[in-house]
Amino acid sequence: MNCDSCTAELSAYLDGELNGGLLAEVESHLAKCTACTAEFKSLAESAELVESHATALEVRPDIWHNVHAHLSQLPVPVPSEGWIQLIFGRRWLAAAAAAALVLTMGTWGYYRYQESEKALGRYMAEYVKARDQQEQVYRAREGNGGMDLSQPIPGHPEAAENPFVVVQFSSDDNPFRSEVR
Amino acid sequence: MNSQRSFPRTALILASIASLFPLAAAPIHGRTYARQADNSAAQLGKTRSLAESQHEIVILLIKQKDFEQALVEANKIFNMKWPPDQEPTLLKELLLFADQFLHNGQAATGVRLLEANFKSFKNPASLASIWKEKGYLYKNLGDDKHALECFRQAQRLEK
Repeated sequence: MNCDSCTAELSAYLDGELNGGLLAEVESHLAKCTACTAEFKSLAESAELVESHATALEVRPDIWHNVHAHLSQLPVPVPSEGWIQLIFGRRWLAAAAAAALVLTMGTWGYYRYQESEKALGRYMAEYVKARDQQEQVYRAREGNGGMDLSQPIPGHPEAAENPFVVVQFSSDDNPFRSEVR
Repeated sequence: MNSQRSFPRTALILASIASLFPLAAAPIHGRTYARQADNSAAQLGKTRSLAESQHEIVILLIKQKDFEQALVEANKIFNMKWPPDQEPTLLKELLLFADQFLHNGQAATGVRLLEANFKSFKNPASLASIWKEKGYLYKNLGDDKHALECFRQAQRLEK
């Protein structure tokens, strides 16, 4: 241990706060170093002096008043804040964050709604177009002497036959393709 | 030599007994099931025959422009007791009648027909077809709002 490190530990040594290896090192250094021993003695005497007069000292009220006035003039230190404290600690910031969230969700929802409406429009248009074509065929047939219920409308086979008609089998044909109505 | 000659005869006798066995030991419940199947087939045949006649009545009423009575008679077909496997036939019938009402300028009656008989169908594909046809009828009536809603339901079922 050198003199610098020893003097740094003198105050703790004086207060009896050292123990173990550090205590032994300080004591060993003090035993052989006169400069540090002198420093230690000086420090011990100062401490003894303060201790002996501590009870006698009384702080005057005007001193406390001055200290208080001085402290009140100092700027208040701003504590470091995390982002959550930053957002929720300030109302305007929380409101802005909420507004941004609502706006984002609203935009996303509106976009999704628009997409689904477009898909629905296409779905509807496809069916309507197919059915309109069937209707045109029907109207054309009607114009040519009326609807022939025995013949299905192309693309709409259910539109021109009784689905409950019993299937008859012809005896003079291939039995595997003999269904006639 | 004698035993070799008698072998085919023994086999023939055994085969004859074996051929009789299934008839003799046919389980009674098997025959009951067969009878039940015959009964249900006969019942279905009867229902289909009734529906066939009912169909012709509805078509005639539509031709006579008696649409209200046609609707009443059409509903009778769907209120008959149908097995689940007849749903495709019923769907054809329902869409056919809706089409007939539409051709005769009675899209609103077609909508009523579809609404009244919606409950007879369970298959999502059938239900989607009905919703689409209903939407088409609404579109013909100029009610785009309801038409869109019907197609929305159909689209949901087909997803």
